[in-house]
Amino acid sequence: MRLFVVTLSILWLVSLCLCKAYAEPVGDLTTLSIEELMQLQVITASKKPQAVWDVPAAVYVISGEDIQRAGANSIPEALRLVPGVHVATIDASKWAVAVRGFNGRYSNKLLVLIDGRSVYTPFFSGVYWDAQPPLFLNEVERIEVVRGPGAALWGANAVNGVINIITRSAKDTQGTLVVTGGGLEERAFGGVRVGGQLGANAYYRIYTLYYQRDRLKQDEADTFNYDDWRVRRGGFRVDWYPSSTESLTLQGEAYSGRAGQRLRLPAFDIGNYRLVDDRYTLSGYYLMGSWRYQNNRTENTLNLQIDHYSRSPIEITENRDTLRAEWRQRIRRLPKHDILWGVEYTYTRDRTQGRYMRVSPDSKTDQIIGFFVQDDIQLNEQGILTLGSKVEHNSYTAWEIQPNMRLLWKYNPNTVLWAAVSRAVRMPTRAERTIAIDAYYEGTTQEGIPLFSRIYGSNGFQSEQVVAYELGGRFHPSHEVSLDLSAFYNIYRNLRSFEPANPFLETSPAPHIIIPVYMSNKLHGHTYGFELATNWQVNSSWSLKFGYANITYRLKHAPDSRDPFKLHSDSTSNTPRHQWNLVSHLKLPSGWYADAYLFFADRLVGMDFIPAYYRLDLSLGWRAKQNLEFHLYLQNLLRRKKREFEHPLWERDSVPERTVYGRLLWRY
Amino acid sequence: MALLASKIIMIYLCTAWILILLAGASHGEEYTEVEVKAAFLYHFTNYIAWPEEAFSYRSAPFVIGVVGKGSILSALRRAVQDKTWNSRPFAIKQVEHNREARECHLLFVERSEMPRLAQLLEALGNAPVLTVGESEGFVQRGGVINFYMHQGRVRFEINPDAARRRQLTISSKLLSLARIVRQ
Repeated sequence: MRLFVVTLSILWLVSLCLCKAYAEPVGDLTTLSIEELMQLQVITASKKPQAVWDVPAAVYVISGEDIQRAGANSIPEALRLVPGVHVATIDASKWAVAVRGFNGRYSNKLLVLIDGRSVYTPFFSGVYWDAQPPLFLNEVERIEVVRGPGAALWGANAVNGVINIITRSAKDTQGTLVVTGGGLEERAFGGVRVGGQLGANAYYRIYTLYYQRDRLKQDEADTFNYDDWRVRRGGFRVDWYPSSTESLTLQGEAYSGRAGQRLRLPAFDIGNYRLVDDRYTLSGYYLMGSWRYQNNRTENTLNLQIDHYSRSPIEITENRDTLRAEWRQRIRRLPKHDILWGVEYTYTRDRTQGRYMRVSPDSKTDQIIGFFVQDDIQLNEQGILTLGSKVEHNSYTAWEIQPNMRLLWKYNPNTVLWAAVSRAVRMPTRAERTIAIDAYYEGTTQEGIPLFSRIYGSNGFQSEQVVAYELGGRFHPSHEVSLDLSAFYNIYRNLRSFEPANPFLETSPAPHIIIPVYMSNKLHGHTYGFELATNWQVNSSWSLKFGYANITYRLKHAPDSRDPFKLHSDSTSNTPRHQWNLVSHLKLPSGWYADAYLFFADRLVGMDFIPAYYRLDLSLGWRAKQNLEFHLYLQNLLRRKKREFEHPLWERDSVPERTVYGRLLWRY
Repeated sequence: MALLASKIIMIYLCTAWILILLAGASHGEEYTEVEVKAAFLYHFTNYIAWPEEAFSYRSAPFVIGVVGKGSILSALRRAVQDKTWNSRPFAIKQVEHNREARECHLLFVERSEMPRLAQLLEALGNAPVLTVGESEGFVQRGGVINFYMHQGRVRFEINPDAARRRQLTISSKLLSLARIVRQ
C-alpha cells in the first residue's frame, strides 16, 4: 500500500518536472523570426472557437449544421445536444427545459433569447415553447448555452443559465431555399426562403413556413393525447451596411397556430376531476430594429423591439404587448480595459381572462429599468479579471443588484482555467403575486364533501436568490481532443414553497371545501455538480462528442414551513442526477453522412417517479448536388412506454414516439 | 484504512489532474492558425516596401484591413500592439465593402470571402495594396501572397507579378522562403 503511494508521488513529481522541462510557450509570436514561424505547429481555428475558448464561464455552442444533422425541428429538441441541459417532452408542443436543476413546464431560472430578444414570458416566468419557431428552415446560425448565472449581463431571471439563439444575417442567406419534409410524428412541414440584395450594401430575406406535428400517445392508457400542433409563420430580415463602421438590422416575424392539450381539471360541480381535451389558438408578432456603430474606441448598439402574443388555452387566455429599448456601449479607450455598459427599459402590459387560473387585476402594466456595467481587465499576459454588475428596478421588489466576478487564466495555448462568483435573482412574477389556481382534487371529507386545493399567489412573495461558485477549465491535450470541465456550487435562498392555510367552504356550483395554499419563500439550500464536454476528432471523417452532467440537490424547507412536500424536500428532484449523451458524426464518401445520438437521463424523483431512460436517434443524409440535399431521421428507436417528465399541473404528459421522417432541401 | 484509501484516491486524482495539465503543456508550442497568421502578416510588412504615394499624409497609419468575419482581428491587434511601421502607427480595420479595400496597405481576405474576390480585386485596380489570402487559387487569380497548410504548419506562396503590378517590392529573403507562383 505504502509502495503504491510512493510510486504515485514519484510519478507526480516526475510529471511536474517534465512539465517544466518542456519549452515555455512564447507569448508574443512576432518576436519569433519568420523562419521559426514556419516551423510552428498550429491548431485550426475552427476546432477552438476563440470566442468560446476565452470565456470565463461554462459555455457550449451548437451550430446550425449540428441542428440540421440531428434533425431537431424545435429549439428544445436541439438543446438535447448540449451537455448539461435537461430536456423532457411534456406533450407534442411543450417541453420542460432547464440547466442545473429546477426543471418544469415553466422552468423559471433559465433565460432564453432569440437574437437578443427575450422569449421568456413575465407572466409565469418561463418559455411558451409552442410559440417558438421551428428550425427546419436553417435560419439559426448557432445556439450558445451558458450554464450558470448570466445575470450580471442579461439581468434578472438568468439564474441558472442563458440560452442565446442567433439567426443568420440576411447576407448569409442569399438565394432561394425550399424545404419540405414529413413522416410519422413530424407529420408535414415545408417552407420557402428568398434572399436577395437591395442596392449595393443591403441584403434581405423573406420566408414563410408551415409545421405540423402529430399527436402523441399517453403512457398509462395507451390512448392518444389530444396534443397535435400546427403553426404557420412568416418573417423577414434586412441587414444594411451604410458604411464600414455602421450596420442596421430590421427583422420581424408573425405566426399563428393551434395546439392541443389534455388536462385533468378539477370540477366543482361533480366534485372530482374532469378530463378536458382543449384545443387552443396562439398567435403573435414581433418587430425589432438594431443599429450598430463602431469607431476606433467604442462599439455602440441601439436596439428597439415590440412584441405581441396572444394565446387562449382553457385555463386562461392571455394577451401581452411588450416594448423594449436597449443601449449598449463597448469602450476600449483605456489600455488593458474592455468596458461594456448599457441601459435598458422594458414596458409590458397584459390582458387576461382567467378560468382555472385567475389573476387580479385582469390587466396590468409592468416596467423594468436596468443598468449594467462590466469590465474585462487584462491583468497580465495570461490573466483576465471580469468585474460586473447589473442593477435593475422592477415593480415588485424595487431594486435588485446582481454582481459577478470572474477570473480567466490562460495557462498555455492549450489550457484555460476559470473561476467565478456571482449572485443572481429571479424576480417574482405577476402570477406569484396575485394568481389563484384551481389546482387539484384532493378527495372527500368523512361527510363526503369534496376537497380541492387552490394555489394563491401572495403579496409578500420575494425574489428567489442564488449565489453561485463556479470553477472550470478547457483543455486541448492534442490536436484531435478537446475537453471542457465545469463545476458549480449554488446556494439558494427564498425558493418558492407552498404553504397551506385554513380550509373554507364554497357553495357554488356545489358545496366543496377549498384548501388554500399560498406561495411563499420558505425553501432554502444548495445544489452542486459538474459537467463535462469532450470532442474527439478520430480522423478526418469521424468525430465523437461526449457530454455528462451531474447534479445533487440539498434543499430544506424552513422550520416554520408547512409545505406538504417538506418531508421529501431533500430527496426531490425534477432534474436527473446523471445525464449523458454520446454523438457520433461520420462523413462518408460522395456527399453522404451518418450520425448517431445516444442520450441517457437518470430517474426523476419528484411529484411522480420517472424511471431512467435511454434514447437513440440516427440520421442519414446525402448531398446529391451542390444545391440538393436529402436527410432521413430515425428518432427514439429505444422507445419505452414511459413519460420523460412528471405531470406539471393538469397536463397529461405524452410519450415521445418512435418516429421516422425525411427532409429535402433545394437551393437555387 | 479508510483514511488511507481516501488519501490514495486524493493523490490519484491530483496525478490525473496534473497529467491533464501536462498533456496540455507538452504541446506548448502549438498555436492557433489565426495567431500564427497574424504574426506572419506583421513580418510581411518588414520584408516589403510600399511606394511613398501609398500614404496620403506624413503620419498616416499603416492600415491592415480584414475582409470577412474577422476571426483574426484580435490576434492581429495583439501582434501589432505597441509596434510601428517606419515610425507610422498600425491601424486595423474590418473591411465590409469593396471600395474601402483601397484605403488599406495590407488586405487579408478570409477563406469565406473568396466568392467576392473578383469584385474585390476589380475595386482595388492596381493600387499598392498587399493582398493576402488563405485559399487555394488566391494568387492564381491575382492575389499577391497566399497562406497554405503543409503538415500542420503555415506556409505561403507569392505571385511576384501581382506584387510588381501593385508597385510593391518584395525582399529576396521573403521570396526565398516562399513557393513562387506565376500566373
